[in-house]
Amino acid sequence: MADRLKSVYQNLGLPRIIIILFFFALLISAGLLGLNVPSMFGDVLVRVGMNGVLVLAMIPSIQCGIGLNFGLSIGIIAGLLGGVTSIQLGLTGFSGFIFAIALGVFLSIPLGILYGMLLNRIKGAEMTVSTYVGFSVIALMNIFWLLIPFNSPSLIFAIGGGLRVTVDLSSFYKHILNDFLAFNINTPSGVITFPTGLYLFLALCCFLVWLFLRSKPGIAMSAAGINGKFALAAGINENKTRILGTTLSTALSAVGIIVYAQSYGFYQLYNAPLMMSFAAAAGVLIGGASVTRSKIFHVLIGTFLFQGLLVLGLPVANELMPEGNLSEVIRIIVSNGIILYALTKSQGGKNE
Amino acid sequence: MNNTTGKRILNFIFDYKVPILFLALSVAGVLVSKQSLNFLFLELLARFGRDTFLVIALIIPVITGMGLNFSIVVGAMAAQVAVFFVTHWLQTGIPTCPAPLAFLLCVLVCTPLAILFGWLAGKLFNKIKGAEMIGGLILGYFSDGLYQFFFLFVLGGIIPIVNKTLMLATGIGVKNSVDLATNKKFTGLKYSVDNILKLPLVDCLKYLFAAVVILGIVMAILQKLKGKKLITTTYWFLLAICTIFFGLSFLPSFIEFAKILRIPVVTYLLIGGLCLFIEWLLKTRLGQNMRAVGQNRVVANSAGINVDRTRVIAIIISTVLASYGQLLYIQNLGVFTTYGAHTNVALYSIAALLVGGASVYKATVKQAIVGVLLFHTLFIVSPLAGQTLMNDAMIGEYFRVFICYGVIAMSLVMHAWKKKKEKKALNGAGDSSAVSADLLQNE
Repeated sequence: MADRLKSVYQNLGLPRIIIILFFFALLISAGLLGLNVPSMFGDVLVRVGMNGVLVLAMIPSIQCGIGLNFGLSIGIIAGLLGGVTSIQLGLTGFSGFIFAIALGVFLSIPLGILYGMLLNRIKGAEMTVSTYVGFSVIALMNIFWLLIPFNSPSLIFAIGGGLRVTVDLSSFYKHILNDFLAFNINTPSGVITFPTGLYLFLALCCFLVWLFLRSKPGIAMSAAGINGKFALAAGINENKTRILGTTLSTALSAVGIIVYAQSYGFYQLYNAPLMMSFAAAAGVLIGGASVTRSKIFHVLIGTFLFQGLLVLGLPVANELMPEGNLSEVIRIIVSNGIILYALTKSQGGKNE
Repeated sequence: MNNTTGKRILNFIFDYKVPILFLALSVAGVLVSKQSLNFLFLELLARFGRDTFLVIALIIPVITGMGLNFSIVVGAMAAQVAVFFVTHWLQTGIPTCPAPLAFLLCVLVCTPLAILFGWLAGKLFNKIKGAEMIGGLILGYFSDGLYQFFFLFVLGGIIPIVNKTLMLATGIGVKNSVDLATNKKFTGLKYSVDNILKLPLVDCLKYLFAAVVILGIVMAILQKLKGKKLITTTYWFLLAICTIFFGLSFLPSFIEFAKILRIPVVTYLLIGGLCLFIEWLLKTRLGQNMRAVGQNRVVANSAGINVDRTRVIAIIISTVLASYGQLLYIQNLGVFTTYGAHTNVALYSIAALLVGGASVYKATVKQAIVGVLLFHTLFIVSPLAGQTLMNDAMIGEYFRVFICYGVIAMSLVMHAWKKKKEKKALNGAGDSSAVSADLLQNE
């Protein structure tokens, strides 16, 4: 028994155990404080669905060997471009949503390939470089959002001067997935709406990634991600599989931001996507992934725990400490703490 | 002869390509924005005094091979904790304490904190060798969370703070911004160093010239006594520049132009002292060890240097210096924005250092100073330049943010690229060296 406990401890690591215990502590205190736990659970369901694809985007990048993709913002930018173009064209409903995704993916592929080629030249420093490349791209896009010659009134400020900071989607495709085939679950303390469409879409994405990882190129990519030299001996071109993984990750994040936005109800432009890749990285790491290995299961469990912490944390924290934004502080500490922990576990003088 | 001179000029341009590029950008920005030079110099003198200390704090870790120290944020936090408590004491217990003494009190409070934070950061970096930069960045964010927790909930929530003027309405958590100006009731930290001695620029140039001449005489005497050559070309260069400025300070038009420019002498002397300290430190045994560790950890280790310890010391020094730098920064701003003052410290300081021509593995005091001047010139003029060029000041704002991120990204890419090439060269040189490269890698 002691041995089993020890192995569980070693597999999970102290930070994850703390996070899990913290999650349950929040759950119990929410119950004790008489908060509406089922409705919070409904919130968690929605937020897992809306963040899931973005977190899923970490899988190909981790598997192909570039580590956590802190340059997720490159794909996010492509997705946002697809999104604002769909609005400029006045597309609503599913056609708008699908157009946004199609254009986002279409734009993200060349960007992903370029980004992958850059990362191939700087092996060993991917995470540092990708962070700042991601930041630079966001800063460059800030200028672009100001100059882009779009004129749809939903997109631009009435007084001129570039695109809005948040673009409202309520007359376009807000909640298009959330409401698709949604059904209500009656609980003693209220009704939870299950966002069926959101989960169908997430399941589809997960299934496609799962399928890809079991396909021949997917297996080759994972093998090259573990050890480039052995893969070379097996006739796999590591550089190509890395570009493949990076591109896939970028394309998934383009899809991810559109799914996120339709659920949130807004496209957030300018500096909003700056830190999104850190949240996604924290999600997959909390689920049990490392900087070198990850599974789809990690995405689901990690997103659930992380979003659960945030959703439960807010009302519980407000109940205990009415002033200040304790839940935001918890988010900062948890998400960055888990990334730091993962770095200490995997780096260990490896990347010289 | 002609050929070599041409080559030397080309080499010079190549070596200093980043500063030259930014010099061109700055000059273009100044011309386009039509900013008055008076205003520009006024801003620049203030910003130089405010930011240079922080930028120089980055040099030691670069030399020790730990890259750009993104974790100077934790030093800034140490300084801010000190600023808060000293302001609190000034308002409750010691209202008549002279401002310079209050500043010294800040230094006293923040030094042990910064040493502790630096030690912790150094320990962490020893666990993630090779990933110090991303680790430092994330550490900055992580400690920002802890910092917010401390200032929003611990202060007032757990540690009782009697002085309600500093706190939010509920008494738990510190206000978003605290005014540090001195008023009738109590002294504040605002300008506590800057105001010790402020002299017009024209006078300062005269004193500077006198100091340099005296230094030359002293060195000449020592040279005679010791028989060692002390007066180098650098000195003659310095003397020439000082003489030009000395001459300038008598020009009526220059006096008119520089009328509003006043130098906070003590702040500038502190910066000068720090430059000398860094130069001196690098000549000591510790400094030599740092260089050795920076060049090759394996070799340094086999030469009997305690690599981990040297690295931790480097980070501690950097963190402590950063905390002093942040103290100078806050006393110059005069307003302490509790939750925002530290967030961009690492970004701006690192970008400034890189603009000066430094890189991930090489940085000097000179580069830091050039970098601060160029970076802040660009910073001052870019919103106005954006306004005149594109009719939108926001473009200039975003452009300067892009410059910050972009110059860091470029520098990191160049560094990683070079490293990979070196490794390839090692690997390609045959089996034995391939093994040693692997050893290097695994260490």
